[in-house]
Amino acid sequence: MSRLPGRTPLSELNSLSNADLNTRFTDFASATVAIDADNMRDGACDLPQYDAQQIVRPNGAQTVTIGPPDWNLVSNVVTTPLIAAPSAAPNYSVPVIDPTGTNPSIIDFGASGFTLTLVDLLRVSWALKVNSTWTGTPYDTAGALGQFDVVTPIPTTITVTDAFHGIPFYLEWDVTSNAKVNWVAVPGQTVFNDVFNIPTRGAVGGPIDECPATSVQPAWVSRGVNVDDGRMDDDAVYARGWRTLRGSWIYSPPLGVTVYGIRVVFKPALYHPCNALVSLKNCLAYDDIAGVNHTAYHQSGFLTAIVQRLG
Amino acid sequence: MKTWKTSEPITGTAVLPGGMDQELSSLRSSFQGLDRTQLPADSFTELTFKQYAKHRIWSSGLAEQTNVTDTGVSSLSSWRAFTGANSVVGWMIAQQLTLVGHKGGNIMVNWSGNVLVSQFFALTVNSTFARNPNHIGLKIVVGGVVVAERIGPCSPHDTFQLTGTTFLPAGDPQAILYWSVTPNGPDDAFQDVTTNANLLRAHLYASKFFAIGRFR
Repeated sequence: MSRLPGRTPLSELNSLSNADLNTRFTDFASATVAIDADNMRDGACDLPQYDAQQIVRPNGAQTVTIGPPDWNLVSNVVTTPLIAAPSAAPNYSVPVIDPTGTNPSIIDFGASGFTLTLVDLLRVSWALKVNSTWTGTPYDTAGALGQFDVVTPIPTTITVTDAFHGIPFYLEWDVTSNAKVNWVAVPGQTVFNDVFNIPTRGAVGGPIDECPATSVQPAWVSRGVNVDDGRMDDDAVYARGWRTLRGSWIYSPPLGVTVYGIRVVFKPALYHPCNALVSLKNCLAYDDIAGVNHTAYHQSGFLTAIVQRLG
Repeated sequence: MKTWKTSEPITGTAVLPGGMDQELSSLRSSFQGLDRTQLPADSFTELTFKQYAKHRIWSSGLAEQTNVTDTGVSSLSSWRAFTGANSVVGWMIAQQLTLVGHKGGNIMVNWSGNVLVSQFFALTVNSTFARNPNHIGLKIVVGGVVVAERIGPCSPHDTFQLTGTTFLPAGDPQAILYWSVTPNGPDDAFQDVTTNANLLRAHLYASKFFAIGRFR
């Protein structure tokens, strides 16, 4: 028989009265000890008996639309030209704006913020329509990252590009105050502004083992032309066109923290895979040669945050 | 008393088997004399209910895959990752964790992350059949059962999200996250012919996983 400590269990031949039952209701409704397997089987409860906010914390779920909504992709946020030197302004990032096209679009937890505790899990996901265009062939300029040599059928050697450049998007939050002016990258997230020393040129970037909240918009895509047994005529670089970029992040706080807002930002420059930086870590490194004459677009999407109780 | 019990005492009447069943069913309920449907609504809050009694969430992250970390790549223009020269065919385990304390019931798994997969050799002269883009394969296995599987992204940069659900008995099942890369084609070049650096083929990073077990 299930019971709460401190209450004598019913025995055979005991009589039940309304008062007894009411007392037991009160026991459970105002229990000061954890309801557990010792005093209540899990299966002995029905869904109505649980507070509906057991898994998702009260006020812990929010969704906002981000970017100007326009299904035919005419109204866009245009970022052009992409900046030439992201190291010039520490942590320079561009926030994705709201549907009015004027203000940064954010998850707003209000004046008191939302306090994450050790038993919480914050889940953030977002999606955004993005596009890239450019002029010329900056990826073919000598020194651009991503170039490699192949043999043509003639045979001679030509240089082609892997076109692995991209524009990094990531999450920022404000854990300082409701003023929402103290935006910083979420924990563990690089701001792609570390200064490295790539051989023959300086560079900035960020290690990809510090990218838990990062998504990368591909700048373009290339493929070999008439590739036959490792030889090819040339490469061809294409636009990826409008596509939906998605992102996600989960966070279980090691310490309590009050979150006032969350937003999506991007680094307005082209980055390319690299491992010549610190300790041969895999990084995304800013490419100042291929990243010229590039225009980035973004449009409508959503940003969602959910705070769940771990158990 | 009538208000609270699903059966009531009747005197002067023969006891029928059905009536006894009803009485005993009532007595086996959550607490003496009450059927569980009669418990007050919202009796239990997160403050009174023992942690993990009703549900449990596990989460884990993986900065980047370590199945293939080819060091023979260009230091300037590549990650130390999956290359055509060092490719692995088939499923590779990206990440695994034990879902300690699963009490039996429904489990939902969610795996998200970033990938890069080269499309440079997606369309070559001698790949005459099924000229499909090179893609990343993704699979989640929990307790030895495939819970979710999909053809993943095929883009120089992309993200993925894979969700599945199943029912599991009580125990500590293992969740294993697999990824795979489209095998090399017949015409693919593997190296820069000048520097002999291996060409980056694919990578998986910023991997995030969580599972929600609901025990009743």
